[in-house]
Amino acid sequence: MNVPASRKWHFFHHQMFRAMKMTTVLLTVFCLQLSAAAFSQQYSVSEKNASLEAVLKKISVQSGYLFLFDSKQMKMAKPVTVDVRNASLDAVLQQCLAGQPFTYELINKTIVIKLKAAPARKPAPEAAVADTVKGLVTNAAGEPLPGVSVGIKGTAKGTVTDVTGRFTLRDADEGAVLVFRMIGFQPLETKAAAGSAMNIVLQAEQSKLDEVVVVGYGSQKRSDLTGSISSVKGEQLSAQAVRSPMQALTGLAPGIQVMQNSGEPGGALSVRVRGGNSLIGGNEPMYVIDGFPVTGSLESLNPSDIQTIEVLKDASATAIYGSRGANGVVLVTTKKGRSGRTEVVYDGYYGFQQVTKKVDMLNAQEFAALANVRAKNDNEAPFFTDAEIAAFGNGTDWQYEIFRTAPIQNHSLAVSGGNDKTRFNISASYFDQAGIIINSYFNRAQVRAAIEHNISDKWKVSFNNIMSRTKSNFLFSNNTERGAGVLSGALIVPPTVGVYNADGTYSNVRKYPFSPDIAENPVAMALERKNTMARNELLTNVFLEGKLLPDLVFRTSVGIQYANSRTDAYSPTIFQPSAKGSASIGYSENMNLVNENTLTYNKTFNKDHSLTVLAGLTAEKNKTQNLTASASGFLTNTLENNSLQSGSTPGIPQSNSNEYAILSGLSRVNYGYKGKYLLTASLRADGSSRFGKANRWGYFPSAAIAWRVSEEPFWQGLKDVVNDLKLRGSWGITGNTAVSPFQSLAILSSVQTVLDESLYIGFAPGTVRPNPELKWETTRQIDAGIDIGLFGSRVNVGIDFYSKQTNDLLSSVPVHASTGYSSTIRNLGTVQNKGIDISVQSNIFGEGDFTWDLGANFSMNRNKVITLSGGTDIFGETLGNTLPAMSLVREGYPIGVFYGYVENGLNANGQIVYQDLDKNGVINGLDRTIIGDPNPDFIIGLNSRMRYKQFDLNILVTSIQGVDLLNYNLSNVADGFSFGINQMRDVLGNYWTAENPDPNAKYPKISKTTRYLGSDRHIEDASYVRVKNIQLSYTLKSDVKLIRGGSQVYLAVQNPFTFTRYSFYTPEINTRGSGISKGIDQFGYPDARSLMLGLKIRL
Amino acid sequence: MKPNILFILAFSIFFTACSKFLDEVPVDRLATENFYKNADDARSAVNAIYQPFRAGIFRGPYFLQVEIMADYAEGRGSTSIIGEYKGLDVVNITRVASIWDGLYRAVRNANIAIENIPGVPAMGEADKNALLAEARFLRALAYYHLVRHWGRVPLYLSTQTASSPRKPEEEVYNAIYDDLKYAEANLPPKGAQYGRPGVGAAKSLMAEVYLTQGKWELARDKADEVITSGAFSLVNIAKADDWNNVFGPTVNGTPEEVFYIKFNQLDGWEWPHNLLWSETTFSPFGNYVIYSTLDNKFLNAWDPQDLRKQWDIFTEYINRKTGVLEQLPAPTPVLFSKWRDPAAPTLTGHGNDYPLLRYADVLLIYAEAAVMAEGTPSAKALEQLNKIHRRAYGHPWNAPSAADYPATGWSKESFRDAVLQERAYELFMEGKRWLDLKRSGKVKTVIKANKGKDVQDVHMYWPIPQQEIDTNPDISQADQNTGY
Repeated sequence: MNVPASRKWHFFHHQMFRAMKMTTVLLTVFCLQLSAAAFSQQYSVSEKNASLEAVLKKISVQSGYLFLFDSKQMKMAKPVTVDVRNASLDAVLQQCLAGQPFTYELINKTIVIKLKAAPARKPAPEAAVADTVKGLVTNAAGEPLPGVSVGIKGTAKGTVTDVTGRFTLRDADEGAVLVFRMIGFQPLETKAAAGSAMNIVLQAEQSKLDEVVVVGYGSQKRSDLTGSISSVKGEQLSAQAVRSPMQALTGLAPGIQVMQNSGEPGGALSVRVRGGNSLIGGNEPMYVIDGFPVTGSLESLNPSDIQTIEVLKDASATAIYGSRGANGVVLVTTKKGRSGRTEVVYDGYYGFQQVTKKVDMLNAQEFAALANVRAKNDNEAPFFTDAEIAAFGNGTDWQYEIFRTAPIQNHSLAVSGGNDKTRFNISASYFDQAGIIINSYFNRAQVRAAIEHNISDKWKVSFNNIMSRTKSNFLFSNNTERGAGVLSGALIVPPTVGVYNADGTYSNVRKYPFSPDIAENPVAMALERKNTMARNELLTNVFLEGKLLPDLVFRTSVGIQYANSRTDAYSPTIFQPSAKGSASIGYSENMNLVNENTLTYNKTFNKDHSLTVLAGLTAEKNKTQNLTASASGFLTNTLENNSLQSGSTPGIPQSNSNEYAILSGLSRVNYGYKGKYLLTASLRADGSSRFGKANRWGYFPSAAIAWRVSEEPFWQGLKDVVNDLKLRGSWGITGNTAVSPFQSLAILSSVQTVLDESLYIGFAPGTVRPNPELKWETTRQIDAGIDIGLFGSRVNVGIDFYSKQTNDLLSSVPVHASTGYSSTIRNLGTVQNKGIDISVQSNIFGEGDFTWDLGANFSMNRNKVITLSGGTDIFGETLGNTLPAMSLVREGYPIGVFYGYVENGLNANGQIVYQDLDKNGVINGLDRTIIGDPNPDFIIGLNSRMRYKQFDLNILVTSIQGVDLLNYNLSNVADGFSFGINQMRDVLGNYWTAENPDPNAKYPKISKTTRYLGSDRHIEDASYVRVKNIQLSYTLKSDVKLIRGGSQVYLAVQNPFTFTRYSFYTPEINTRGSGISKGIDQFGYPDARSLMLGLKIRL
Repeated sequence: MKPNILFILAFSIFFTACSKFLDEVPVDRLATENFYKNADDARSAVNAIYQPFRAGIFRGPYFLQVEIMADYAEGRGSTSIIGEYKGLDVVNITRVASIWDGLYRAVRNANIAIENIPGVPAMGEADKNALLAEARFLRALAYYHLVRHWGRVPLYLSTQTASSPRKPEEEVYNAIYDDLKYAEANLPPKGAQYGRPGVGAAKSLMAEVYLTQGKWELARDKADEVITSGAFSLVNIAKADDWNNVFGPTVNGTPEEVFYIKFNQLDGWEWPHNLLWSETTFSPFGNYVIYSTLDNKFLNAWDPQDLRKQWDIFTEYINRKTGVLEQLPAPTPVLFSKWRDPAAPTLTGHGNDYPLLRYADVLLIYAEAAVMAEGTPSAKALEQLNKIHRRAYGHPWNAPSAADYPATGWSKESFRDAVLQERAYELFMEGKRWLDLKRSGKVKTVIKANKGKDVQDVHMYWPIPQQEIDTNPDISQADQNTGY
């Protein structure tokens, strides 16, 4: 794509020559720092038949003056022949412009070349004179902007602002729409107002390369980065109907996988940056909000308060966070106030959600008929007579009974503004999501304030405060089985039973002798059990920043993160396991105190050598305390759990207390030569209280280099095509403290027993064998990256290759229970993650009424266990009663591969035959093999933004390919009816019968003696392509009465389409969360499809 | 500039001052180094042995596994496969694995106590020995359950043993005898609380272990020592409801109590809810996992006049809400009511105790061991059998009655069968029947006769947990019990 010469704009400077395209033909210049070098007073120019442009360029180089001209007008220039020696600038210019239709004007260091005044026009009619529009254009800081194009929309008429930023437009009809454009600023449309002077403020639009990127303990220009960092803008997050900003990140940044454990409102998320390194749950990235490291995630943040999110991926970027950087670091910058006119923004949506899919289960007649098939196969009398079966009809659709169309809404109101000294941004928001399963919900109310004040020219103080309250009601759903939870109940209880008895009480769903003994009425479980959690969180911090020397900045911060949460549970008298009510209250408090102190020295030597040195000390202390009280034996449900003393039997209160501390020193050097050769090196030392004294301190170095090839002289010829090319390489070590406090100590815990009729206390070790030799888990990462900007940064490509190796992997390892312990924590081996992240952002149509931005992200990660100490396999956790642990860590394979038996059809009795892999004639544990991999081959994200005039269509598509899920649900709902629970309709006609003994039938014999083991039957390909979000918006371009331009109304659909072969609700599920046992769907709360109407009003 | 440098220096000093900043002091747990310092610590180390025993094993899952295998019960839902005698499925394999884990945790806690108590300062030798005896009694109890259900099992007699292969059953039994002999020699005549073993408990358990191994004389003599000690007696029963004085939720320390696993409503028993149904007056809870059928030959042969049958099983009940007499639903027509706690606060909160060793058991051990040792039933052996039998019909236990067995006409086998049958009635739902059938070699014939089912060999032992095979370097897949 070559840009026609006529559409280029130019400015000349004694040090620079740049060619960039612009949408208007007007040439403008925006502030560049001029060197303080002295300008020569005498100039010599000698040219023959040269273009005026070329001559002016030479003068610019000699003089250091900037030239400002319209390149379209420049076509009117005649060739220049000039020969002056040691003349003044004035004389030189006079010579050059002799005979040209131009004149010039010198303003400060800028020379504006303009057309000579046109001959006097015919006198304008009276009315037209009245239509003269005047005004002043400034930037957000209130500084006047010269050279801004002011056009009348739909006409060729227009003008340019003068040096003082003022413009005058004749012939503008009252009500005409004026368009203000300037490179580096967002275009603005507004109605012309005749008479009074208009005040126009243009907002800066940063070019990709000059964009400032937040990095650990500082910020850098994107062009100066040496590390691998993905940035996502707040506006890309806020339009999605999600609770947590992290949920919206899926598909927007390469190398990041965001998995929701389930679709439950308020349910946990697991986030993986470049795959998981660690085995014991320490795979979540570290979160830093406005420079403040937080414990936990971003749950208390409203997505619309976010300015940007930066995800630090390679070790060069994360090593400054040392012991917590191994899983990547997510830096969140919240919106700040800007000086200028106070802005009030309402941003909100309201919508509805529905389950994306239902699982097709047997109806009552089919269920009863299948029960009779089982009875017949087991030589038992039929459970149901033909007449009973005929009377059942369709029976109860339990899924219909628990699912609902649920509202979701979010409202936020923000006020921001300020002046030169003080800037503020204050907001309040409310998010409310009702779950698609009855009685589940999550809501969050939050207020936030960010205030910044310049104490003096040198000192600045800022205060950030977020207070939030969240409340949710969780259903007992995930990771249950055989009807013990709401969803498993809805799927497995007999459709022949109604929800209620005739008297309005809940029906007994264990009606038949074959009914599972732990099943409960799912509607009763959802509606009548209370399991709420209310959490208050305060995140507050104060920064003081000052210049000790002109180039030395000191910054100190104190932050407090305080959270308390209360869980309230009550199980009323209607349930079998608690025919008397049982209640509990849990209370926990967490306090995290952080103090960080840094010194930053930043100086450019001899114009070419830029140096930034950072040094700092930080300290962090965290304390958690819990208290739980319970009681049971309530005779009435009225009091619920609000009066524990009303229960006849008090429970034993439980309390515990945890504490840890981290003390760190950090340092970093950034060096750049001519902005071409960039070097970063950092070192952090962390001391953690979680480790034994001998292994307490860990040291985390990193180094990175980058070469901006496109800044080399030899590249200049290629700049029209490849305007930016940067090669990066980095190496570094990061750590992981993912061990619970006190695990290195031999600890005795209290246990109780009964003697006589009283409780007695004993002390014994827990089930985890202590290990005093625990040490840091460290991750060594190398990264090679390339950043390419094509066609004037119209297409930006970033490619990173990385290889991470995690040593001394900390893992919870099962031990033989005959020792009396069930597991231990060990440093046990090495895991490798290798992969590629690619991101492409392109501006396919950049101009005119229709614009189209298209972006794609591609990530590929290969995880492999290199060594395990002793070479012994590690098994995941036991999942439930119907399937054993099927996750495995084995040398040479990815973490958490599925391990089980391979099926080989059915035998003559309709029972599953397993392959005798070791050929010893017996099917036992040795016949298990690796049968699936929950680690995806590829993750792909596509985002498209099409704009036509004021309409804006955003589409986000995500896809995960080559991933397996363990569909635990099949061991319940497709188990040959062996547990007497309802089956998927797919079973009908597909099961083995004596009449048609098909060895390849999909399902075995319907019988209570039908057995199965954890096999490939339960592993499914869960690759999917999902259209995650479609949003259509209409944006007000210019002010209308009170409402400012930029106000917006939109319609959005979340999860409208999913293409997958996965047979259950959703392939985006991971009910066991982090750890080895991943990629498991054990009756996970399904996710929702939602439709929302949103509104953003700027006042 | 200078003040700023001072400022930074101040921070450095702050950090130096906090050199203890990173020292970890757990405040809610005890560290091993500071424990085992006095008699209270030693006693709490022994108390800790009881917890895994009770919590994961005798509270619930153990009985599902052993009672559904008895010839009078069926399992509902996921437990039904236990009563099919074809080996366990994955659900029940997981359940027996948790029993394995719990028993070995009790062994570990016992080993910790046994190793640490001798070093406790300021404690008399006799007190130490009594506590050691208690720990060794409990360790023997754990191994006794392990060896009968799994056969050859790993043997840990010290915490220093990192791993152990499956040891021959004889070696495990020898360890059990060692522990019990020590316990017998050092336990007090009576435990400090009910729930702790006294000498009688050690002797009774030893008698049962001898019986299991067919060491008839030893079993007979040990049982006799318990009987002649006079420390125990039976409770008289006049009507069925009097069983509440033996098995009721608030009963503590009856003369029959030799060694019980103790429960109260605060830390109660889960097992009864697996038998009952919440509509009945027996308990507000009920999962009725275990039931029986109307055609069960064992139950049908049981004399309805036997007060134990009247107390132990029911087919109709008074609905606790309506007060109306109702028939049990057709699918589960017979349920078991031996363990009743109408005031149980939670399903795991039944206050009844589990009678692991009851005097009635000791009397029947004597009767069986004596006839096996002597070839014909002695008067003394017959009297022990009659004590049990006549009480069940409402007669005073220690005086001849109309309900007594005939004095003559016995063969060794017929008398033993009568004792085994009496055990089945008397120790109904106490977890003994399956093991009695197994040790007497009658499993296959009796199950076939009463339930019409064939017991496959695989069903005779429980599988070694897969985790044990996967992680114990001394056990390989080839060591698994046959059929798994």
